[in-house]
Amino acid sequence: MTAKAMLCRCEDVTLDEVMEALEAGHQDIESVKRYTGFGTGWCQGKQCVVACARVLAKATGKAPQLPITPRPPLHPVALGVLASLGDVEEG
Amino acid sequence: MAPRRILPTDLPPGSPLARRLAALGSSGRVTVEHDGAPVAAVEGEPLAVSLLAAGQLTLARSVKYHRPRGAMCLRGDCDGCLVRVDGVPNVMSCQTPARAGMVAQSQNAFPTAGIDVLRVTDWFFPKHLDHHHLLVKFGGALNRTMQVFARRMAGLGTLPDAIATFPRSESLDVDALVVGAGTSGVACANALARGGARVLLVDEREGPGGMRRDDPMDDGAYPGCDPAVTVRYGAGAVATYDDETLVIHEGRGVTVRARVRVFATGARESVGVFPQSDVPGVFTARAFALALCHGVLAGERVALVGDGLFARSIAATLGERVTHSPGAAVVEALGSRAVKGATLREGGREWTVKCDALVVDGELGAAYELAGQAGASVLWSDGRQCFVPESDAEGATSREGVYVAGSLRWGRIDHDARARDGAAVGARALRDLRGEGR
Repeated sequence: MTAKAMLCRCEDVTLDEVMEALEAGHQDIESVKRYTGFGTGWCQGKQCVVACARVLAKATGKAPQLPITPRPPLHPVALGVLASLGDVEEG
Repeated sequence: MAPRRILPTDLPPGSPLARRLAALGSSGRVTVEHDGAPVAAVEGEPLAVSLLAAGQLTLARSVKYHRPRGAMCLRGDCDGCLVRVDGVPNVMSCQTPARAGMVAQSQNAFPTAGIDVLRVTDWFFPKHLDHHHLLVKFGGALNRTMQVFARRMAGLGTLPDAIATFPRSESLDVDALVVGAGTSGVACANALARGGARVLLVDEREGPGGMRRDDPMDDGAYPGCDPAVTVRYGAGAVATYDDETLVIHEGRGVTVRARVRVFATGARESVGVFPQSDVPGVFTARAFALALCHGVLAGERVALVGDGLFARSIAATLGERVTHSPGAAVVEALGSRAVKGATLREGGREWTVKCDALVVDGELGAAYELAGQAGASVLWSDGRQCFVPESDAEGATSREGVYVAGSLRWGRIDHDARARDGAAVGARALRDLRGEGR
């Protein structure tokens, strides 16, 4: 059987892996991200950061500190769009 | 049974959705192509909804295990509906309006997302494959071989068919930028414009209304924008830094300089984390409701869980067609290729339902990312169980000139409360612009 509980769908990171990271001593979101790779896929954490925070809050009994740093871009953007930013029509 | 299109006559007479679908009529019927097969679509509806209506639950495969993926959120928050469109890889089909002759192909799968023999990876590693640590243990040549193997097996789409050209970018200078044209964003932009500020309001969607657009019980009477507000729809803010915000408007980059920025980006829905929560046919209640608003019933046998606004609207619209368990939680979804059922729990009781769509109105998360990029401090809220930008009574954040409004800061409050909040935040931002202090 392949019943997996995906905490992070984009990078195929299971709830199991997050629990292993916790057992290995990684108790904050940033460390869990670095250990498991969760939150580094297509959605950049829109779905999974809060899911991970809830797991950590429950497991450790402590309020999570910071989320992983929300960095631009919010959605993937074609490099061509970024490259054309220097080529401006004044509005 | 599979997802299908419904007609106004399939719904109780007088239901807001029946009126909405009757107004849509049968205009704009076009044909798109998916993995070589023709698919009937309505021009302008999200491509993912067209594919869903044609019974295509599985649109993609996950990067590592090649597990089947389907539309889950229908609002650009997940990986479920990524396809190659007209030779361009990694297109979010939920964010792409269907146009006549569009060619969609599955990617990262062999031969198609519907079959994909590469799923053996999933069977080989029944618990999980910790490639971050496994692949670096061996060192040297074996490590390099493993990396090559992983690179071929995993990942997203391949390069585009052709070298694309991109339009020139645009640069705008305004007093205030409001991101999000939902109820609070529109009220905020109106308050700013009526006070004489030059306001730009942007939203990824094709019109105003925010979450109200996706509510099948909504009367559609969204508050309108004051004519003095400059509005861009189909325009998503993707980055903000200092006083500049990058907006992508219909494929073109727009750099907006604004003295004040208001984020009214709302909340994100999720289904939660449970075994098989990622299989096609598991939807957020908002996604299912959104498809319904386009006349598409995303399943014939619907198990609906949760008691939020969208769950209630779905239940009110479809009545006995759905099995609604407002107080239940999902223990696990059943099914490997697509959802076949679910185990639910309420109180001390556990039971199993059969379904071809599992619709969950789960916990919300504030869409804090842009406010966070702008420098607003973001804190954990115990009450809402999510990260929220810190703000005072009038929406001012820890960062000068950066404000938040609506569901982003309050969670899902009612329409009138969101409108009042937007107007109050707008009034505060106006004082800021006039130099009347923070």
